Amino acid sequence: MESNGGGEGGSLREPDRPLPGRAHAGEGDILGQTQGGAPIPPLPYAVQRARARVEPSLRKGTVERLIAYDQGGNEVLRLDGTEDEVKIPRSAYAMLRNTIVTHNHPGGRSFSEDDIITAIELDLFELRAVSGGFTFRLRRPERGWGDRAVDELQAAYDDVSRDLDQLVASGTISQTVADRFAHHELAKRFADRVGAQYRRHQEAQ
Amino acid sequence: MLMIDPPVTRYSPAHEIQAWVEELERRLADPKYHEDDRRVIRRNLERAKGWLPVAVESSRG
Repeated sequence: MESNGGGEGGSLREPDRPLPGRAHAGEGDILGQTQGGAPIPPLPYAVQRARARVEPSLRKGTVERLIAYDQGGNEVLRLDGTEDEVKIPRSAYAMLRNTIVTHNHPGGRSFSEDDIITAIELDLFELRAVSGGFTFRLRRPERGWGDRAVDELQAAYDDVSRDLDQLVASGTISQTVADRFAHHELAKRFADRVGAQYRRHQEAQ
Repeated sequence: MLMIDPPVTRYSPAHEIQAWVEELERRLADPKYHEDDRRVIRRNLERAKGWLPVAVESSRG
């Protein structure tokens, strides 16, 4: 099911195998491998088709656009933002529960803290961010986000900052590499702490 | 709910973080943002301000 390209957009395929854990390499993970545990179960087929139609053009966007799908693949919300922010109106909060939300990151980084807080507070099923080079996915834990998820995000931020600071200070990685991957490392550490699943897929250029 | 995707991190050059701080201060003064948004902007602003001493120190080092 995942291999059907659909014809109108990009491939539905999202490999769940680990990316190579090339410690300290420019395109690799810094603080351990991204993937652990079981693969993320595939999205409902209708959602796969829907997101495969929009994400190829979404990832080329120069301003942020957010699109939400229900579990049946129906688009329930579409919002346009600026190059670094998108606003979800209060009137849309309830309709976003259990949805799959995709949006683009023109800057190319993984999820921001605000992205993750939004996923928690609006109880999203899966949050996705697409850029020219990568697709990032954060899937809600099976037992839900839990009451302490925002606190765990802060704890993950503190952990990652401490570890990256040490690596930069020791000259193990450059500040540029830390800058490029700080959000990715945060999302990874946060997912570990709350039992969520986080993946980064490199897109074919 | 505002989702901000900051163009800088703790490890960005100091002048880029400074520019982001100034941009967030500008947004905070913009009446188009209501209180919920302003809370998000303030959180990002505090975070970015906390990066400045680290960035300045790194640029000296």
